[in-house]
Amino acid sequence: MVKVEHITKSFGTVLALDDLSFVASDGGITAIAGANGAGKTTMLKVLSGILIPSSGTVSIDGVVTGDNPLRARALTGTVFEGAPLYPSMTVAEYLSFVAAMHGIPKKAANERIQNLVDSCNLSTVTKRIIGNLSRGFRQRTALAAALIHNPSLLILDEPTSALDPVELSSFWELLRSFATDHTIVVSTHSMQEIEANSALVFMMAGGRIIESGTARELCERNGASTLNDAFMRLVSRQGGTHERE
Amino acid sequence: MTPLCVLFLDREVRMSASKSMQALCALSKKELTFLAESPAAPGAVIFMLLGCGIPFLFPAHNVMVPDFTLEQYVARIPLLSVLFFPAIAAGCWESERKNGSMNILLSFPVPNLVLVAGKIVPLFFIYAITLTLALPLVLSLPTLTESSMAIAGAGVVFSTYVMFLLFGFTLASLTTYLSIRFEGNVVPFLLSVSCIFIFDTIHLVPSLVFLPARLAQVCAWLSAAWHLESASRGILDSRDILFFLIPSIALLFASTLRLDHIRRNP
Repeated sequence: MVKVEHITKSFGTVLALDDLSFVASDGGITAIAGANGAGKTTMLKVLSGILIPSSGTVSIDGVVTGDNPLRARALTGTVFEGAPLYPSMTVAEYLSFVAAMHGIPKKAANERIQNLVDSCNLSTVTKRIIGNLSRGFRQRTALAAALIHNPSLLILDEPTSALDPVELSSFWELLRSFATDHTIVVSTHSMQEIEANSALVFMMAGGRIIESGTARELCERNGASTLNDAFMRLVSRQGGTHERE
Repeated sequence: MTPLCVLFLDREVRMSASKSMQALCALSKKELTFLAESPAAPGAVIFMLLGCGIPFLFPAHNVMVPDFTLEQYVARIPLLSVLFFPAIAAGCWESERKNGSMNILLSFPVPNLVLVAGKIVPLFFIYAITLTLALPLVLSLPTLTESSMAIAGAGVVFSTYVMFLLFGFTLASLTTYLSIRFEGNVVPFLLSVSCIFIFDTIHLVPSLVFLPARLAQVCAWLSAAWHLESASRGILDSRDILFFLIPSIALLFASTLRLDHIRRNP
């Protein structure tokens, strides 16, 4: 379980996150939606321990990131936007590298890599250079790397932005299979994907959560037939501002 | 604290140290592979070896250096280092920034010190290998020339190499720090070239411009050549060792602080 309490993050005069609080539980996918500049990526970076918040606390399974950042990072796996990996490594080399960075002993790492290669359907590309892979395989490689240490919290920042429909469908299927025993927080622009796959949705604008609930609840509350309509109404009510100075 | 607690703490510390070491090895291996694939590192090694070797290969015909000594060899490596370190390491953090893999590194559960050491260790390793490759040239010199080098014993060569390793550690820490402190490849390269050049040649300033005696002494003391000189006579002076060690550790610490700063203000 992830508990975010009164998180604020500012970059100079820009307030990227403004007193943000929420709880994401195990057993389902939690989606973060919002327009560009709403603060989604900043929030996910704070969750993954890359950014230190200006104030507030994040706890992952009771471990407060500010008090024990290394332990908190060990509980987190992140797939970054655009899946930045090391393009000159092969998939197998990259997964071994990530396992070593998490301090997993070699034998256990090999077993874990084999399991993830199978479950993420990477067996045909393990010896291929990452730079030559399609976006779909790169995303799968990034997902396998994020899961290599069996984290409690899996964070994905716009993981499906460049996937074709076939890759998209299998990627979400894969995520749903991991959601049973992981807390998954996903940021995406696609309301259709959120509606189809997420148990809980947080709508963000201007660094704040402006609405939360299930997709159905959000539609009902905003008198909309689809989540996309609900999002458009919420954003227009906010005046379309995404950044506050 | 009971002895059992002490044992538990020790085990925790040991596990943490072992994980950090594993991460450091993985990072160093990744960085070495990256450097081996780039043209800069092999080019810098060849440059260094040629620079070290040319006067030895033609000792009798070298007009500039007719009677080559170990002191001259000692003076040569710092000058070659002006290009060696910046060429290899000035862009080491920029490649992570450009590739987007900086976020991956920052998300690993390892201390900042390990991330920084993961950049310095491969650079230092390449430098140490280059020095070792140059060693046969130094050792074979007595057979080629009748210079004072002929009487240099193993102790002199050993002390010279130990001091060169410390000197390399300082330059590796400096270049890595400049790479993380400034974005891009050009600014860290130019800054590290300038800093290393000044570090190597500041003792020559009093011979070019008039300086009060005390200031001239300070210039000499600040120079790498001054602190490498006694090693070329077979003396390992603890003050010289500290002269290279203290800034190296300070720069290592400054790099970890910079990573911490990036976590707060990317």
